[in-house]
Amino acid sequence: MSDKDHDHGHCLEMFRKLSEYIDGELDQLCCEELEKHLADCPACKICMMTLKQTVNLCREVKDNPVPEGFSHKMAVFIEELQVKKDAPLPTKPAKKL
Amino acid sequence: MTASHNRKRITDQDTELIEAINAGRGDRFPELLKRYEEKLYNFGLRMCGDVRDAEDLVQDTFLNVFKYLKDFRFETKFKNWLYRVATSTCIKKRRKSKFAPEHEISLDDFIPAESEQVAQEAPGWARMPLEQLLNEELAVQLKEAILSLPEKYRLVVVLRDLEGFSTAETAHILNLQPSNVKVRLHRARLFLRDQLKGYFEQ
Repeated sequence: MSDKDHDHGHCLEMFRKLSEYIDGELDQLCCEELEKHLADCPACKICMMTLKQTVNLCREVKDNPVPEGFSHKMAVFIEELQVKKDAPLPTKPAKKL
Repeated sequence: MTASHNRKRITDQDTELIEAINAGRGDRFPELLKRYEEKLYNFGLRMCGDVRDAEDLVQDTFLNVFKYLKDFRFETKFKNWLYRVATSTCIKKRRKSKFAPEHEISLDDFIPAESEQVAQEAPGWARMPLEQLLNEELAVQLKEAILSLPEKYRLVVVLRDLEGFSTAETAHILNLQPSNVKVRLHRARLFLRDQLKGYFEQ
């Protein structure tokens, strides 16, 4: 973008579309326009590559196992809910006449 | 015929189990818990950053699932409905991370200045294969960066890039327009990219 002949405004327009491009959500025309721009503009290309690598890293984040004893705690919690649900409703005392 | 009758019924790997539970097989509810307990725990951890809060999120979500499963109409995948319940539970409790002040992220913050001197090649970390790049320290950095995002951006990036939901699914879970999901996602990703850049350039 330090290139004086370079249209900064076009860069900004493309910059807004980078995530949609990474996700394959741009229509063919927009996609072709962006790819043409990326081929000519090192700044936007670097921007796209660093953003794409960020997304790739996020997608690689692994799940942690639940803490020890948590599954048992949850099983007991659900069991108690079921007992409460199945318990007969308390009978109302008969109204005094 | 009402609008709800016209909606397409969606079946997935959970349909049979949910139908059984709703037909009186409450004893099969723990199977549902087993299927999603770890996923929800990790969602909670990513949103709250705290083990106890993540455990509470799983418990509160399953309490709501237990109460409202009979109202599930198979108009979406069960997993999407479950995350909608979890997200709403999360927002209602206003579990804000201690690292995350609520503020807007502006696109302008990430636009390179016109006069900026630009490298001709992407930095090494952007060109390295993921398996060479990933390690425990980087995973911690990334998790902290995610936790430092304001909640509304964190929710979108967690659902889209970590939990793997599509734009349309994320929009449904968060009750947002898909265009809003895209805007928030782009800003959240740019924020994370800047955090990673800072880490790699240290």
